[in-house]
Amino acid sequence: MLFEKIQLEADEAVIKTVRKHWFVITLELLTIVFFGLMPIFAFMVILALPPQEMIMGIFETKTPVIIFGLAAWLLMSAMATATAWTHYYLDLWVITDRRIIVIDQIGFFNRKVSNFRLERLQDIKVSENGIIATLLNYGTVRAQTASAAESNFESRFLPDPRELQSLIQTAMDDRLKKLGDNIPLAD
Amino acid sequence: MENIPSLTFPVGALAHVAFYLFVIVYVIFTIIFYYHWQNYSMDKKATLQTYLAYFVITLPLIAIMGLSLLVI
Repeated sequence: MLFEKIQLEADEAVIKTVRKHWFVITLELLTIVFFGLMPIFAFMVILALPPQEMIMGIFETKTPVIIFGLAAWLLMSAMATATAWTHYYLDLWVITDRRIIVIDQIGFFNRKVSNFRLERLQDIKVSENGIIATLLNYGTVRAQTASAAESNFESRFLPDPRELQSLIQTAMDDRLKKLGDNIPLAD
Repeated sequence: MENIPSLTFPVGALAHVAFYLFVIVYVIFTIIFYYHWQNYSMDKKATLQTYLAYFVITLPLIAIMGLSLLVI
C-alpha cells in the first residue's frame, strides 16, 4: 500500500488526505458512460424508425456480430472508466504534521510524487475561477517554497481550497513552533 | 455487362482475431490496473471494491464476446 512506499517518518501523523473535487470524476464518468451507451442509443433510434427490409435483415442475420461488437465497445468503455477512476483516486495530497506529499497520477505510466516540508513553505494561494467552481467550492491551490530544490507546486480542482489553505497554514505554524530555532536550512 | 464478383467478408475469422486481441489487451490492462491499486492505494476497502466492480463488469462482457463467437 501507499504509506509503505512513502515511508512516513517516525511519529509523523497524517492530518488529511485530499483528492480532486467529485465534480471532476463525475464529469469524466458521465462522458465515458455517454459514449459507452451510444451504440444502444443508435439501436433504439434505428428500431424507432419505420422498419426497413435491409436493416431488419442485418438485425436478423447478424445478431451475434452485433452482440459481439456491442460487448467489445462496452468492454472498452469499462476499461476507460477504470482508467479515469484510477487516475482520480490515486491522485492525491497527503498533509502530515511535517510535510505535504503531492501525488500526481497523470497516467498509468506517468506518476509524480513530491514532498514539501512545512517549515519551508512560504506562501499558499488559493483561487476559485468561474461560476461552477464558486458554486461547488473547488479551486486551485498554489504553494511557494523557500527551497531551491523543491519547486513551487499547484493543484487544480481541489475541494474547499480555503479550508485546505487554513489547514496547511495551521500545520505550518504548529511545525514552526515545534521546531523553534532548529529550522533546517533551505537547500 | 460483366458480372461484378461478390465480395465475401470473413466476419467470423475477423471476429476471432478481434476477440484474441481484446483478450490480450484486457489481460495486460488488468495487470497494470491491479499493480497500481495494489501499490498506490491507501485504502484496502476501496481497493477491494474497485477490483470487485471492475471484474463484475468486465468478465461477463468477455464471456458474452466469447459466447457470441461460437455462433458467428
